Amino acid sequence: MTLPWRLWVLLLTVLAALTSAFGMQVGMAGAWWPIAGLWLAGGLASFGLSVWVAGCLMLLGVAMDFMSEAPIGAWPLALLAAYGVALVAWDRQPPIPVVGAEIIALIGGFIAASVALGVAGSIAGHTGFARGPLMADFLMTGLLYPLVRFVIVPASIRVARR
Amino acid sequence: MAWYGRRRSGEPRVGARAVVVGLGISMVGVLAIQTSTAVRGGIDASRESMDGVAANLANFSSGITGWSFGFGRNAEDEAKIAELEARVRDLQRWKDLAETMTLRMERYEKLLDLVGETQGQAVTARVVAEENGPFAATRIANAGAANGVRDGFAVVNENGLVGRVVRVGEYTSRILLLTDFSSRIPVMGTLSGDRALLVGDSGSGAQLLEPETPDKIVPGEIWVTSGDDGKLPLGVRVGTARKDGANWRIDLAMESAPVDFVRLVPPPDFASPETAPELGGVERNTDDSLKTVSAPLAAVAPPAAPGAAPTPAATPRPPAAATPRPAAPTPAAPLPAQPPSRSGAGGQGGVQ
Repeated sequence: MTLPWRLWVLLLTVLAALTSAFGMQVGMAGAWWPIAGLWLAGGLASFGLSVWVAGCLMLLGVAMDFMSEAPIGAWPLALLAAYGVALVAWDRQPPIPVVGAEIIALIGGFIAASVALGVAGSIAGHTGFARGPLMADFLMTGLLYPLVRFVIVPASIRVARR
Repeated sequence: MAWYGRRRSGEPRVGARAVVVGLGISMVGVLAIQTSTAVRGGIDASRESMDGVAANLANFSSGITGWSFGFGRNAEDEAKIAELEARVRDLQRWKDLAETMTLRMERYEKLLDLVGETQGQAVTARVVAEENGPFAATRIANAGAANGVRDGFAVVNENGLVGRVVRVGEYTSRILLLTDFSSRIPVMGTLSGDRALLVGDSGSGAQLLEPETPDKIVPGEIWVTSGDDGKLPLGVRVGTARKDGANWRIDLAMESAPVDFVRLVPPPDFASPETAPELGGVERNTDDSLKTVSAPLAAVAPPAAPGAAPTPAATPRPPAAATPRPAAPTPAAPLPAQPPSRSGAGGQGGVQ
């Protein structure tokens, strides 16, 4: 990954952290708020496997852990799991259409992240795990993805794999 | 995808894969070591400072959106502010009245020699961030250790109990809501007098765990804190009871309106029996011949034999009332350092 793309990924990570923080506004606890990290995990896998992206996802995950009072490492693990599933979707041979890869990356990412969060809570000995808010947030993440994909997934990839 | 790097995505990248998988495994390791209380203690210290950062980040993010999308102050906001200012003026009159009533009540309590529930100075704060994720249902308030807030403070708003403080930073405090999985609050019914444990389950309201006499609970009954744990004030409204299958749930009063301003109330300042002075300051009487003279201490003194001459030891001892009472607000050892403003506060229990 070239330097400009690395900087772009870093900028996207910061924006994702700000998006997550915005969901902590007073009065928004009950709102369905997208998980921006899953957008990045699903979309940035289109670049192929990248340690830089994985590192950024981990940083974002740690920030989300602090924000959401989750065990440290839970969200990084969830985002990495989603990233792994998305990589499989994007790197399928023979290549499938972009939309197909994105759908697999998102839905598979949700499932992988959900399982990873549950496992993380169990490992860390956390009391309870609420799936309700998580499902609502997943749903909102998926609904808004068609808008943010134009920012995350490069146009050349979208065109080349149409 | 040669445009984005030196390699094409089809080429195997064993090293990169190993690094990413290693990162994932390391996260599992990080999670596993958090079962240690020592590690959790260290993480909690960093969380204390991060609560403030998260609150600032939320404000900053909100500010960016407000600036970029033009969600600034408008006529509606101005009208709202004017209305709130009028309400504050109105409340000021009520505050004066309440202070007068408090003074009168303190006088009455003194006249009656009532052992009340001592209460320290509460702190009012604003909720600046909310989190309702899979792991926790919490809020962050903009008052912390610098404002006299300590771990375990009860959090109430105008509707009733909201939760309790579980972590305190310098200028922020993390509030664990009643709906959180980890929340356990002793409560009692105002009609049935039944006592139970209020347990959060991240659902609608919270459930009553192990009520003593569930058949006595009345639907719609108001439930309040029982104060049995010695950490929450007695009688703070929690919600109303609702039958849910075989169990009882509480429709939480805090959910009737958004939680914005909250009051952080310190635990009742009871002296523990170990630290309380001995009643009357009198030495324990072990001499049988002197038992009848310990009238101020003995509940029932045996009648003296008729015609018996009074013994020299029948000198009246000083009354017990002249000595400090056990419930006097003697600082208990486990209590953290209190701000100077708390020392003069007192009065009957309940939410201030």
